[in-house]
Amino acid sequence: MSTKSMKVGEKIAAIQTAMMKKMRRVSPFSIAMSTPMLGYQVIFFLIPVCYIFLLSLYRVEFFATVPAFTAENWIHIWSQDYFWSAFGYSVLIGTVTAILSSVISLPIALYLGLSQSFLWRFLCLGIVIAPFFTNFVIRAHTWRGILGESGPINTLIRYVGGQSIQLVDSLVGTIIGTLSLSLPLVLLLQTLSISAVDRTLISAGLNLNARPVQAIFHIILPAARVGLALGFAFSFVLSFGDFISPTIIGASRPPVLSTLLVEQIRGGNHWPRASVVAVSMFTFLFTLVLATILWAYKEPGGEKK
Amino acid sequence: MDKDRSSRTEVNITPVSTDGDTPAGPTRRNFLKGAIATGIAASVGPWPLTYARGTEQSLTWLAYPGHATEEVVGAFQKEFGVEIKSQEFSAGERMLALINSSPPGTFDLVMAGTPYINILAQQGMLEPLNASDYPMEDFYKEFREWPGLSLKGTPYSIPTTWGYNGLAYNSDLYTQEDMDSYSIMWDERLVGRLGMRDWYLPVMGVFSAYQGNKNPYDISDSELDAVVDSMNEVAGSVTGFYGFSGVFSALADGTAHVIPGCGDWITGLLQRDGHPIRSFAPKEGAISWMESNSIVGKSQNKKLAKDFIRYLSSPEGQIRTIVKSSYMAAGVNRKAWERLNEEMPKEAEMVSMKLDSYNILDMLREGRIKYRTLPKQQSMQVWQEAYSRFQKPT
Repeated sequence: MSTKSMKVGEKIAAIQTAMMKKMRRVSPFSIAMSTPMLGYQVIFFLIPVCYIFLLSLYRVEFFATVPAFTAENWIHIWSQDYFWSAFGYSVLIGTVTAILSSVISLPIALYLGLSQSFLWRFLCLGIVIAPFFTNFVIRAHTWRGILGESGPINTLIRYVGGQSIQLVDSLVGTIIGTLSLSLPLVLLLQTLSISAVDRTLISAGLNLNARPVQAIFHIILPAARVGLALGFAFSFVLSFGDFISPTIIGASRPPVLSTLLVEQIRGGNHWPRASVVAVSMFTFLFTLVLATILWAYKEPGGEKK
Repeated sequence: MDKDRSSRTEVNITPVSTDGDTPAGPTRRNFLKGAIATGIAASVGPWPLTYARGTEQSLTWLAYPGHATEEVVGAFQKEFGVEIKSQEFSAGERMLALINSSPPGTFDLVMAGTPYINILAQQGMLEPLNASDYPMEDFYKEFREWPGLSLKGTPYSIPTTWGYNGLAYNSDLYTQEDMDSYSIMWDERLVGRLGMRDWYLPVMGVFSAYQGNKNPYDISDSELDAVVDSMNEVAGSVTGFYGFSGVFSALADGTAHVIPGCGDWITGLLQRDGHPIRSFAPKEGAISWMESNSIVGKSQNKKLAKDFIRYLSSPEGQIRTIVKSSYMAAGVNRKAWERLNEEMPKEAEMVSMKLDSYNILDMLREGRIKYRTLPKQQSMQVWQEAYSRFQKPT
C-alpha cells in the first residue's frame, strides 16, 4: 500500500473515531433524540411490569384484590405440579415452533433475499405479511375448520378410505396455530437480513470456487446471523405466550402457561396468582431473548459487534 | 351462573348536558375550568365507570353479555325514554370484584347467578325488594321460592331466566335414552370424543351429582376426592377443554360427541343453525343456573330500576330474553311460557319449554335439576386447582 493511501486511511479512521466519541458524548441533542424511546419504555414496559410484580404480592379477600406484601402466591404457584407441566409444554411449543418456522422459512428467505428483482421481492414479502391483515382469532377458527373432523383434510382422508386423524384438540393443532402466527414474521426477518448481506462477499466466495451450498453455510448464514437469531427468538416468544392457538385449536390439550394464567382469574378472581404466572413467563422470555441477542451480536472471535 | 362468556361491549358514553347559563363560546376561563374538571374526573376513578354512572335518563346495568342489546331492552328504552347502559362481565367472580371496587352508585342494577347475588345481599349491597311490586303471581311456584333470592325472609332479587347444565350430545349418534345417566361418559364409543368445558364449576358439579351427592357443591373433602377420581377415570376419553365458542364449534364440527356441563342455552343456538345437537338432564341430576336481577342499594334510580325489573319479568321482556341471539334460556313467567308456545313453538322446543311435552320444568319438578351453589366446604381455588390437575396430561 502506498504512503499516500495509508494517510487517507488514517484520516478516515481519525474521522470515524472522532464521530464515535461525539456520538458517545451525552449532548442535549442525544437526550432529546432518546427521550421518546425512553418514555415509551417506561410507560409501556417498566411501569406495567412493576405493577404486575407488585400485584403478585397482593392478597385476594372476598374476590377483591387487596394490597399486601406476601410471597405466598409465588410459593403456591411454583409448588404446583400443573404449573411446571404447563411451563414445560409452553417451552416445548415455543421451541418446536421456532425451529420449524426457522427451517421452513430459510429456503424461501434465501430465494427472496438473494433475488435480483426488487419488485419481485417486494411483491412476495407483501404476500408473506398479508395474513397479518386478518385477526388471529379468525385465522385460528379457520384453522380449526380446516383441521377439524369435518374439515377438508379429514374429509379427503376418509374419501380415500382412511380413518380421520385428530389434528385439532392436540399439541399438533396448537403448533400448527403457533406456526401460522410466527412464520410470516420469521420469514420477513430472515429475508431482510439475508438481503442485507454484502454481495461482494458472496461473489468473492464463488470466485474462490466455493460451491453454492458452501456459500450459504459459510458466508450468507453467518453474515445474516443476527436476523436469523432474532427470527428464532421472536417465534419462540410469540408461540410461548400464545393463548389463542392453545385454546381455540388445541382446546387446552395440553394446558399451557397462558391458559393457566386465565384460569387463575376465572377461578376466584385471583389476579395475584395470575400475576405470578405472568411475571414468571416474562422473566423467562426476557432472559432468553437477551441471551439470544447477546449471542447474535457477538463476533465469532468473541468481540461484540 | 357459570356460563363462560368472554365478550365484552363498550359502555355507551352519553354527553353530559350543559348548564343553560354557560357561555357558548370557548374562553380561556372556560378552557381552564374544563381542564380542571377533566383532571378531577380523571382522578375520581376508572373513566368508563365514571361515565357509566347513572343519570335521570339512564340506568346502568351490571349484567352478562348479550342482555343490554336492542333486541332485549329496546322496547323498555322506547317506552320509558331511557337508555340502558351496561357493564358486562363474564363470570360471577368478576362481577363481585367490579361492584366491590367501583364507587357507590356506579351501578343501578345487577344481574348475576343467584349464588353471587346472595353474596351481595349478605354484604348489604342490595336494596330489599317488595315482592308485590313484581308480577310474582304469574311466576311458577318454583321460581317464587328459588334458593338464594331472599336473605332471612327478605327478597333481594327477582328471577329472570334459567336453565341447566347436564349433557349436550349429538342426536344423530346417540339417543336421549343414552343420556339418561352420566355413566355414558365411560362408554367405549366416546373415547376421544368426550369434550369438556374449560370451566371447573359446571363440570365438577355434574360429576358430583353422578357420585350421588344431594347438593353437588356441599361435599366433604373425601367426597371431593371421589369426584376428582371419577373425572380422572374418563380423562383418557377427553378430546379437549373448550371455552364458550369452543363448545359450539366442537359439537358442530363433530370433534366432540358429548360434553358434560352444557344445556339448552348452548344447544338451542346450535339447533337454530340446523345442527343435530341436543341436551338432557341425566337421572343423577343436572345443575341449574338462575339469572336474577337486583337493585343496588346506592342506586339513585331505584324507581326506574324497579320498572326495568318489572319489564324483564313481564311476558314481553321474558320472551325477548329467552330468544335473544347471544344464548337462549328458559323463562320463569307462566304467561311468557304460554305466549312463547303460541307464537314461537320452535323456539319453545329449543329451550325445552314446550307445554305439551316433557319440559325443563318437569325435569326440575322430578329432581333431575339440582340447585347450583358455590363450593361450600372448600374454597373455589381448591376446586379450580383440582380441575387444573385433571386437565394436566398424565
